[in-house]
Amino acid sequence: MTGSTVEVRDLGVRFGAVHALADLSFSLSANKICGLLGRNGSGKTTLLSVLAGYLRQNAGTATVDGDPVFENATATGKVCLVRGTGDASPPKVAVRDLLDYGKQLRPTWDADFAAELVERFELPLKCTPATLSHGKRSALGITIGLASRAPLTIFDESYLGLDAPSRYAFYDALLADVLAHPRTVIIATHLIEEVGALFEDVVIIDEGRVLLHEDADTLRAAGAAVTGEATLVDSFTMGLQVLGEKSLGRTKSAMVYGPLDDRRRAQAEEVGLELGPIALQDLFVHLTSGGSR
Amino acid sequence: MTTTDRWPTLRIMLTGHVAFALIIWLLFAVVSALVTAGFAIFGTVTTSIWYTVGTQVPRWFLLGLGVDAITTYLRLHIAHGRTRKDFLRQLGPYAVVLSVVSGLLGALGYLAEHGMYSIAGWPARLPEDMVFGRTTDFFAIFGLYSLVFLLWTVIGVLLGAAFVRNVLLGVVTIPLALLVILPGEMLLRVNGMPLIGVLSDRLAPSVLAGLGLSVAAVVVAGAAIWAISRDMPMRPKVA
Repeated sequence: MTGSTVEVRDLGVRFGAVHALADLSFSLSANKICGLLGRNGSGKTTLLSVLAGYLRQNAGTATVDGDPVFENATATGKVCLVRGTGDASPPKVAVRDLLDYGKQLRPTWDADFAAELVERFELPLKCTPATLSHGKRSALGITIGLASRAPLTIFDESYLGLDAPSRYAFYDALLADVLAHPRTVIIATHLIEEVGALFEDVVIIDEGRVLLHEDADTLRAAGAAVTGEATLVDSFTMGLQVLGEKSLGRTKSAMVYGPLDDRRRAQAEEVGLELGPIALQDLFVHLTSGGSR
Repeated sequence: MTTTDRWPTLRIMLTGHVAFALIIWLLFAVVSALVTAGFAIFGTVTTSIWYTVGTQVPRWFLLGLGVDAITTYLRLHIAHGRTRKDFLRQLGPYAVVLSVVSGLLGALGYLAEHGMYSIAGWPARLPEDMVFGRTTDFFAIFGLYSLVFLLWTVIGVLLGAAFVRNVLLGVVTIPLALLVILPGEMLLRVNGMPLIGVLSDRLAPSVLAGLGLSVAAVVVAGAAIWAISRDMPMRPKVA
């Protein structure tokens, strides 16, 4: 099995007079974990709904491995979108039955992996989603998404209800499974700092358009985190574009946007300042806040 | 052919709904027996109790299952990477099988009641002028009940699809749904709705005309379900 490619061209979705997506274009290569970032109402869920065939676009094209998605089983069969706690978990059907439906409906379903995840997330098989806590419903959605082994697996804020240990268990399971069974994964999230390390590709959308699409490493090199004694940091960052600052006692860390040349880097090293990659979250806030920070 | 090619959603829906129908019909039988016992103890048994218990409530039950087919299983089907067209293709056989099983249970109910009434010496009369004259007309009852249950299942699907698509569309579809069940109501002559009751009494058709109208109603409802569902957006669930 291998992951799918995604191609979106001039995509437009309207809800009445509201343009949720407008002329949105980007493409994803196979077998990467892509972070889809955007503020509330930016169009993330709408975009992902189109990619999974949940919703028909008003304009443009969305293809998976070159096949148009909407009402095309060749394309939709390769996609599993877990939106929130998931659409494959109706409230009145027992967890055990839901997992059995996955087995019957998805050719790529891995029942053994599903059973392993059920154990890991301690899901009660006899219960229905209606009787589960939000966290357990999230875990069920994640279980269905991971066990689907769909060539394009999408998680849209699927783990917000999970506690921190369960979220980390999800990240571990996802990474291990993607390494063992390569596939394309899209993760839409607001927990950028927590999930950011997983991303190989980042797409940022804002007001229904692609604001930025970049390789995650390139993006992290688009600036630097400067850490050290506060006065030295202030002195070093003077004249640079600072996205955000944090202080702890006399130590300060400043996120600087824009590349640092060799002379600057040497200067930092000389005075004992540490340079690290920029935090994606600070960059995201900077890019989507319209200069409000 | 792999397992997943063999109309999986049809199997899933029938497994869930037919099993549920068997349980519910057992409940109807118990209620019917209790009501009959009540009449026997405190009054006189003069008519078929099953006529009311096994006809009135089951129609609404099948309407509910029709709604559930859309609200639960269409979403599940699409969430597992399948298409609306594929789902709608499986809906027809689903509605027919569910209705036939329900019709069979209805007819068996009459048979069981007839046996009980015979032993007790009660008359198993029907309260209305039915197309089947006696409660022992097994095949007529089975056929008619299957048809009526099919119409009610179909309007359940129709209303479910319309309301999921748009609440206003759902409200507008209610009159169409009433027209769809009308032929069956006219044949069966039992209903609890004033408008339908007046119409069914005044327009009582022949069996042949009733069957023809029923088939036409199913075709019209099927076309409406297709038109509403073929590109239905699947909105996010409210957490």
